Amino acid sequence: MTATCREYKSYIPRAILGDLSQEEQKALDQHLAECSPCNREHRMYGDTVRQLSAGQNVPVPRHFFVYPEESLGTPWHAFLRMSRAWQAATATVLLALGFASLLAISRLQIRSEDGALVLAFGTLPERKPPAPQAPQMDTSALEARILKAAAESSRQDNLEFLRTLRAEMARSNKAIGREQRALLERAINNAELRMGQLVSTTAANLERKTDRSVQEVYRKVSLERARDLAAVDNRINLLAINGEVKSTQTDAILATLLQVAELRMQ
Amino acid sequence: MTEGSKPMLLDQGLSGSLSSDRDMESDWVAASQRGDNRAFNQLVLKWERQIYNLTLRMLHDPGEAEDTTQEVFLAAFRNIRRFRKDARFSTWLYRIAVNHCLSRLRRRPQGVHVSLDAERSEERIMSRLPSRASHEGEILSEERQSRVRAALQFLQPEHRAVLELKFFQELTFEEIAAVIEAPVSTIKSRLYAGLEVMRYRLGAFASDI
Repeated sequence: MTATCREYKSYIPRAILGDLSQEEQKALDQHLAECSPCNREHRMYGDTVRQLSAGQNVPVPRHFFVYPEESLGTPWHAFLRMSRAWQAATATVLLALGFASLLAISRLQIRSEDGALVLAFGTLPERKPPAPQAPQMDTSALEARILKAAAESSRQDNLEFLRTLRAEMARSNKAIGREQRALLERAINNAELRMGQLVSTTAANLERKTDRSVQEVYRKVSLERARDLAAVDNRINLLAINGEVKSTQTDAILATLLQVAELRMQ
Repeated sequence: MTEGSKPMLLDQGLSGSLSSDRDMESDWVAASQRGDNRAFNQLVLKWERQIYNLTLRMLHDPGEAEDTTQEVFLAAFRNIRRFRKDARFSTWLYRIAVNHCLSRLRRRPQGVHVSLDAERSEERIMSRLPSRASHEGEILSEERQSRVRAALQFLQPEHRAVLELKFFQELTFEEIAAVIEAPVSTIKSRLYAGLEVMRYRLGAFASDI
């Protein structure tokens, strides 16, 4: 096959389909008349096209009707079936909804509060102040206050008692001598001191033993106080008796001394 | 084109006042665009044979061709409102069919459908088609067509589509360019390339014609 043949070979399919200019067709016809290989090639192309053109359509195996339920399709297909105006309106609405959703999501704030989730668009509401709770009994403070009040009351009672006692003693002291008065004074001071110590000790004990009931503590304090008062009362009575005895003895001694003196003087 | 390839107009009630196939088709298209399912099915009846044979030659598998044909008409129904009346309905329908076929061919494993399965596919096609051959001439004709269908499988899908539209659907270069949406020069280039392959595949059987 010559270079000319190769050039004309490219003309053959175009010639078969009538796609050559008059000049090209004329040149090809001249070449085919002189070149048997190209002539055979041209004939084979012609046979091929005839075979293709002789193709027949086979009958359809069934009809391909489209039924309404088939045509429903996906939402996207429904969108495609809309007119342009409806498509534009739908797209606008969907875009607006999408934008609003994005905006809402971007402003969404979530906070966990008291075991529950609090959602808010924008700023979260202020935390609610804790709900007022029923006042809890502070038993230890109450006990301490009661103990303190009991101790205070006890102390004041004692002081009042001692003031009364002191006044009584002052009245009775006028009738007794200096030594007896000093003796009584010391006894009262001791009693006062002891009373204070007792009250302090009791208060300390009460504070240490906060687990005891108030009633019991109060009862003990009262008991202690009654016992102390009884002791003081006994002591005072004893002092008073002793003072009276000593006074009687002194008088007897004085009377004896007077009798002795009178006898000497006689 | 043979009698089998010519569309048959079954519903004479719809075509009463219309004088030509083209006018009738325009009316059916307009009615379909208004949502008339019955009018659309008239279009299906008119074009199903061409579309089925196009898909059969493109895909070389009767089952796949059947499915694809159904998909083509379904897609056409769903998009009928987009069809512009300044174009031909057949051009639009061929475009859908060719695109569906090319899409299926691209999803296939490369090479399997060309050489190894060609004969087997042809046997399947022949076994599923109703046998109309009653004498020697018809048997020869069926064999020849079988050979053509098998030879087509050696073409690239894009070349096969152009040959199909040119030789079997008998469209002009301009119409094919409108279907494929490519320049006429590209169509011609694909056509000659495909024709060269077919000449080598079918040349040995030239004496049968």
